[in-house]
Amino acid sequence: MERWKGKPLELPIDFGSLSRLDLVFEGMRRDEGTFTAYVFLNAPRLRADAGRDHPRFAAAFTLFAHEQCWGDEGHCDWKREPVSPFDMRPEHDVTPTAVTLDVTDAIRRLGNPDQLTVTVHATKLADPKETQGIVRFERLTAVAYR
Amino acid sequence: MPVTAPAQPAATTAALKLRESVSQLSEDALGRFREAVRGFMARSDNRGYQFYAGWHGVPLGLCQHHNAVFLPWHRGYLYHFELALQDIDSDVTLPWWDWVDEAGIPDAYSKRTAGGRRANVLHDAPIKPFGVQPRRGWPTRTSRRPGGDPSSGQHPIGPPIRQYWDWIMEPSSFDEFNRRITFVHDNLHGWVGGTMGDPNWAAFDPLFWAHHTMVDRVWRIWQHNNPGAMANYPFLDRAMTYAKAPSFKVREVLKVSQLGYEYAAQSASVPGTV
Repeated sequence: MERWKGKPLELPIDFGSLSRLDLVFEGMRRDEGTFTAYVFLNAPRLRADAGRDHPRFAAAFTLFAHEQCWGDEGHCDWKREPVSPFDMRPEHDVTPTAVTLDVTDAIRRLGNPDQLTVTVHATKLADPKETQGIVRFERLTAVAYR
Repeated sequence: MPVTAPAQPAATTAALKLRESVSQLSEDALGRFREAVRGFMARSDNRGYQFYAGWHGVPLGLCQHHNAVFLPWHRGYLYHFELALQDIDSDVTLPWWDWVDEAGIPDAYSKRTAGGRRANVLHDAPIKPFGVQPRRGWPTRTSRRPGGDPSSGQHPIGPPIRQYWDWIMEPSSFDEFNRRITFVHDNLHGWVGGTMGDPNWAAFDPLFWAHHTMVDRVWRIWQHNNPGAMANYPFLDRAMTYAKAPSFKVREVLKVSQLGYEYAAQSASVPGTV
């Protein structure tokens, strides 16, 4: 299991007027294998086996992802650029994606926090004992809707 | 009387074929489906099971996930696969795995034998990607590990997932429905585990086709509930690639009746007057 704990997200909004709050994991990699992640909010003392019934549990997701590159060198290099202005080929099939989680209910259970600290516990499907490189993304953004 | 619709491109009217729950198939229908799959698997050329399974991951890698054409691309993929199966037996259709209301993997796919002591072709399958030399480390046969190791870490949710049905069906926007059904789709691939948990190999497992037929059915039901919701979808003219003609634009796979099938929980017919 891999644990990722983000820096506190500053949220100067009135949670009482909130209609929805999403957490968006941007640039989520999907070239290192399928994993399942549990997401917790403002949970400073979190055991590794904290489950869906934990009071600070917010959401869970499984990402269906390619386990390993089977081709020659460069086959899974998703960062390729168009080779010409006429290059209309679609993006690479393991190009990172965005994972959006609706955590509105979990936020409401927290009351009206000034900050939001997100912790992710992730387990790799093919190797549950793996502890790093399981969940990789560029940025986490909280998006609030009134 | 069968349900009919105009068939493209000849604009004739033709009977639609019904895709049914695998657990509701009669013994005879399930037996015919198994025999068709057996014949499909016996073909080693580009009409065979290994060829079609290879469109998704190894070797062709055409599959689409986590984007706007996830559902349309897989609908077209099922269309091609089902027609190839119907080349063996024109009366069979792809059955769906009802992971909303039924626990575990259906018996039709989980039993090692079927029809006496004969191996069940729906239990597992060889992995021999068409036209390429196998590489070191490639699996040679499909595998499953439903539920994974319960003592280790975080887990997908196993079927039945009825408690999420309203959540899946709630959105009136296709983008939001697509996001939610993607969660469910990914979750079930992860729950089955083994080679079903890796896009490179998942389509070699016979269960993959029942899983995706269910995903397609859920989309069909959502379409029933939200008529016209995709009329202005910005990706209607996005082309989708397959390893055989026809290729499709998104708009060409929106009506399942134009692809020759419908979904039924059950169906019954009686003779008419002529």
